[in-house]
Amino acid sequence: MSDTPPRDQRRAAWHPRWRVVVPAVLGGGVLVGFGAAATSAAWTDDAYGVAEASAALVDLRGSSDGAAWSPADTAGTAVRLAAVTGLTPDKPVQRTVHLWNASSVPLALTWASTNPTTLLDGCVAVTYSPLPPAELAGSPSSATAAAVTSATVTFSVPAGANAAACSGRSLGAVDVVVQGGTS
Amino acid sequence: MTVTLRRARAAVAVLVVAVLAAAGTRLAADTTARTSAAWTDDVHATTTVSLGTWSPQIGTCTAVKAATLEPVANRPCEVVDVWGFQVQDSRPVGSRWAQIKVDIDSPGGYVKDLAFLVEVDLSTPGDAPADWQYAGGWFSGSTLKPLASARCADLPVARMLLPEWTVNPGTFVEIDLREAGAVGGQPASCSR
Repeated sequence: MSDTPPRDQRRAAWHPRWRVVVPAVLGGGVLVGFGAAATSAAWTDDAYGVAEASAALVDLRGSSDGAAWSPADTAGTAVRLAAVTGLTPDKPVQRTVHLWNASSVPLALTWASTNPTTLLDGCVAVTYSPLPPAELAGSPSSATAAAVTSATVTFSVPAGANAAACSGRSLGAVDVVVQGGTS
Repeated sequence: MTVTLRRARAAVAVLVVAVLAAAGTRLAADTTARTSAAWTDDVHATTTVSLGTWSPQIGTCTAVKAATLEPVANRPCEVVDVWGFQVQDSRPVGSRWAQIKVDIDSPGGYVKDLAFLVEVDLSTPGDAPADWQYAGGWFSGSTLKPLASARCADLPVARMLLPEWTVNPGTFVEIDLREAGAVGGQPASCSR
């Protein structure tokens, strides 16, 4: 039995039969404990009690153009956004990442708390557009309008940034992450 | 004997309940974290960032309608230079006056009722004497248009409203700057 469910597909078993036969006399603590255990087991591939399972898929995908989608699960396979060049105090630059919830369940989207808010010793400020407050509907088969949204990252040079210290500097790679999660 | 057996059974039952409860609670705690971790999927996006080059900002300029100060769309404007800080007398520190020049540029040709809202830090160019005292001082300029939001207390930042013609090539605006103890000169172009 694996401790870590496979990334994109987990099985659900909501009513393992043995659960209902646990004697009531065992008390609330035991019932709560086993209830949670059953739920946990339900989301792993080789768990017990999968007879009444239904398939669940969690898969958030990204794109730079809203047409070519990829899982983009790691920095190494990230969606490649157009380079931000020639950034100056009066010219902020925005980059958009398109998001498709290819899951079978709705996902709540959040920016990762590890995303940078400044770069290059404060020469660049990074801000993030609000993500939809409501969960994004899932659509595993195709990127329907209801299952797609976009998010914007804005790069700017703060007013008063030291020109001598900041002009001409560059950074090889900036990785930002959007997290999709079930509630 | 029967009583002893009953007691033994009861003890065993209590023990079983306790063990099961502990195990159940442990499983619940263990799997709660595992479940929450399992139901997320990330999308990574990456780009590269490079900064352009620019000179230290010496001021801002906004094209506005003279009467209302409403910004005029698609009409760029910039402060080209602030220079020539020149003390004009030999009075003591704290009561001197000086002149300084401001040049702006705004391509786009003549537009009726156009004006330029300019904000410059008069200390930025570095021409001013190190001992110049901005506190309590004021500025004035015969070419400046009235501007209610110009406050002398904001010095060395000066907020000014320049008329449309000041963007003509070769034209610049001359500002008189006075320390708190200076006397004479034009009325202040900022509220004191």
